[in-house]
This record gives sequence, structure tokens and C-alpha cells, in this order.
Amino acid sequence: MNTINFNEAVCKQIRTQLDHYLSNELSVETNQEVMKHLEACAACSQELEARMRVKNLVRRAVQSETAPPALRQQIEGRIRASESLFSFMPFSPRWALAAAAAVVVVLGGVMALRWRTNRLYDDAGAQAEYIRAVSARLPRVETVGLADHLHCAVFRRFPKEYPAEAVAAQQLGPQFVQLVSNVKEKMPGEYRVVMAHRCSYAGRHYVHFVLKSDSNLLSLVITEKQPGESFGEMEASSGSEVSVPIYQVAAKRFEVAGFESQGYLAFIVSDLDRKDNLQIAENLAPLVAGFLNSING
Amino acid sequence: MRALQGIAGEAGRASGLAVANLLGGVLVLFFQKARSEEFEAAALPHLNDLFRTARRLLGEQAAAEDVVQEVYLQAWKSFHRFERGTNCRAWLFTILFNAAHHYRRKWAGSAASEGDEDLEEKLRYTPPVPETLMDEEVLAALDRVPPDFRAVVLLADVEEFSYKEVAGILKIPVGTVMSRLSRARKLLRDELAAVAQSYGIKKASQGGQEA
Repeated sequence: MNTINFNEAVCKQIRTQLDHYLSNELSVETNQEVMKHLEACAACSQELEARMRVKNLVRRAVQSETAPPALRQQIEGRIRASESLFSFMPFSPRWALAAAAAVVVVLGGVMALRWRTNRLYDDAGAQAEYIRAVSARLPRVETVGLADHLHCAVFRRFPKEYPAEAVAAQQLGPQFVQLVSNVKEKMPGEYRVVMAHRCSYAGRHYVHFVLKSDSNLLSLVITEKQPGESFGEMEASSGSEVSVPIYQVAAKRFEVAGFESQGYLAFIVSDLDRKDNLQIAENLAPLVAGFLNSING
Repeated sequence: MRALQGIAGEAGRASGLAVANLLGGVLVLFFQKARSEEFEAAALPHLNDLFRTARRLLGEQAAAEDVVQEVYLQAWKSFHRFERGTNCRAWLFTILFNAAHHYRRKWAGSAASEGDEDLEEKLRYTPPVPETLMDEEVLAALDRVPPDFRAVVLLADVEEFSYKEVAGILKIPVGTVMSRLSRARKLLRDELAAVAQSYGIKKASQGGQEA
């Protein structure tokens, strides 16, 4: 039965909207327009009914199936298992935990490093081992100065407040007071005397000045010469114009510049480069030689 | 002495850390317990819907079970990214379609989609739709619809997602959802009519034998 409004063009237009109507996706206005046409048009109404029947048949058929009960249990089991095993953590605390783990690893590393450093500073055996390793391929006489530098200056934490030079000199005795200030004068300006003391290491006695700049650590080490100790067979590092010949060797990151005077051995040991260390040794050698002359004389 | 102090200090720090970690672990477990309950409450009610859809997408019961398990585990792993108050069901279906896609690629069992020309040919007919059909027959007809079109029918007509949601789940434009749905419905109608026809013929022949 045709209606008054029946018009093929209108039906064609309405039918393009029927699927959207069925899915309830039309705007309110278009929806009303379609409904109005459907009331009046049996053909379009039948077409809608047919499409709706397809939709309902399919939905009912698909929904007739249900998940097997075991599936739900399996899923619950796997979620719970993931909880207890920490195998993965599906939310933000997982990252917090990962971050905490990373912190633990880093701290562990830092602590291990500090532990090593502490051993280096405080364990005499480890120190001796290190000194042996550093001086392994040096002429024996040079190791005398290097060992004291390592033992007294490198394996030590210096106080943040440097002692006044006068106080340092007092620890050595009155004859050294002038030497300390003379050495200070001959050094580049950024160096400060952080220690001036008598010490003993590996069975011998030393007079030891430690000077420090922001980046470098330098020792002046003086000790009595023992029988057979001489730089004699080595080639001097200093130029011929220098009154006191200086014999410099490198040991790992250290430069050791040695010279002898009046039955004493003296060393400038530092972590400076070769040229700078030698320069300082050349500056200080005449001063130290003069001082040793004066105390012997 | 300094060494001893150092060791003591570091031991103290280490044990402090251990305690903090332990506490953290307990908190994490506690929090996680609550979170997994929240997840199960939000996600498990959709198990049947996901299973049915997977079943129709993949064809086999065992495959559907595998994929649905995978969907839940993936969802659980990324539950921290799921925003509360948004559509959990649509989110799960998105994961399902991803997982099903990977599953099909892995087993390379998916039939190629029919060409558009073939479809156009079928779309010309608007055969009558039978009133009653067995569910198995309807499902068999649905399974003969090419996967891309079947997917849209499953989401829009069975699960009643909006076009926009379907577009989001399948990662296709809304316009494509609309055109695929129209075509899919017509294909289905054609398939169902064919089933009904054979059914009718069978009935008719049975009736004929009886007569």
C-alpha cells in the first residue's frame, strides 16, 4: 500500500540512513525525519525490519556462546601468579620499585668504591701493595721518595683548614722553619703547605713537606742516604746549566724528580706533568741543597 | 677507627635501605593486591563478550581461549595506563583486536578479504530474511563474511559499540566503519537468505517426502 508521501527519491535517501538509524547514530533531527518517513512508508518500514532481523539474529547467535568456566579461572590464576612472583608489576609502583632498585645498585656501587678507597687509605697491606705496584719498574733509589709521597701524602685526607705554615714548621723543629717559608716562596702561588712533618716508612725516616694546589698534590721528601744509594748510573733530566743534577722518572701518574746532596736524598714527587714537575724540582733543588749544607756544616 | 666508623655508617645505611626496600615491597604488595582486585572487578565482567568476539574472529575455540588469556594479561600489565572512568570495555576490545591480529599473523590462517567488485555484486540483492534460523546456521553465515567486515558487525551490532568506539578499537576512520557495517549487514543478509533457501528447500523436500 502506497502512502501519500511515497517518493522513490525520498525512499532512496532514507534507505542510506537506515543502517545509521539501526545503530542509533543519527542526529535528533535526521532521526525524526527517518521515523516520520517510516510511519508513512511500508516499503522502507519492511526494509528496516529485515535489517533489524539480521542484526538481532546475529547478536542472539553470537551471544549464545559463553566463555568456558575454566577460562575465567585460568585468567584469575595467571593474574594472581604475576602478583606473588613479582614477575611484572602492572602499575606505577613498578616504576617506583625499579627506580628503588636502580638507587640500590648505584648506592651499592658507590659504597663498594668507598669501601675500596677506605681499604686503600687504612689498610697498610693494601697501601704497600699499591706502592709496590706503582714503583715496580723504577730505579730503586727513586722509589725511596715515591713511597713516602704515596704513603704520607696520597693516602691521606687533608683537613679542609690548612694549618698555618708556622705551625707546620714547628712540628719539624726550629731549623726547618726557614726552609718551609723558602720552599713556599719558590713554589707557584697557588700552592699551599698542607703538611710539614717528620715521618717514617719502611724502616727509614723522612722530612716531608706536602704542598697542594686546587688540582695537584706535591711532596718534597728528604731522607738520609743509605749505603749504595745513588743516582750515579742514571742520566740527568735537568739541563747542564743547573748546579744540582736532577734525575726524574715517571711512575704511573706520578713524576719523581730526585737529587742528592751532602749524604741526603731529596725528591719532588707530584701528579704534575713531566715538565712542570721538573721545573719545580730545578727551582727547589739549590735551595734544598743549600739547606742541607747548612745543617751539616 | 675511621675505617670502623665508615663500615658502621655504611652498614647502617645499607640496613636502612634494606628496611626501606622491605617496607616498599610490603606496600607494593598491599597496593598491588588492591589493584588486582580493582582490575578483576573492572575487566572480568567482559570475559564472555571478549570470548565470543574472539571465537568469531579466530574460528577456533582453543585459539579464542589463548587470545583472551593474552588480552587479560596484557590488560593487567598496562592497567596502570588505563584511566579510571574511561571505557574499560572498549579498552579491552582494543587489546583483543590487536592480539587477534597478531595471532592471525602468527598462524597465517586468515583468508584474504574478498575484492570490492565481488562485494558490489552481492550487494545488489536485498533478499528476504527468514524469521527463524538456528544459531549455528547464523554463526556459520557470519563466519563466511570476510574478517574486516565481520569485525565491524561483531563490534557494532553484537557488542553495540558506537561508530566512534568501533573506529577507535579497529583504528580505522568512522567513515570506514559506516561503509563496512552497511556492506557487512548486506553480506550477512545474503548469506542468511542463502541458508534459509537451502533450509527451505530441505524442509520443502522433507515436506514433499511426507506428502
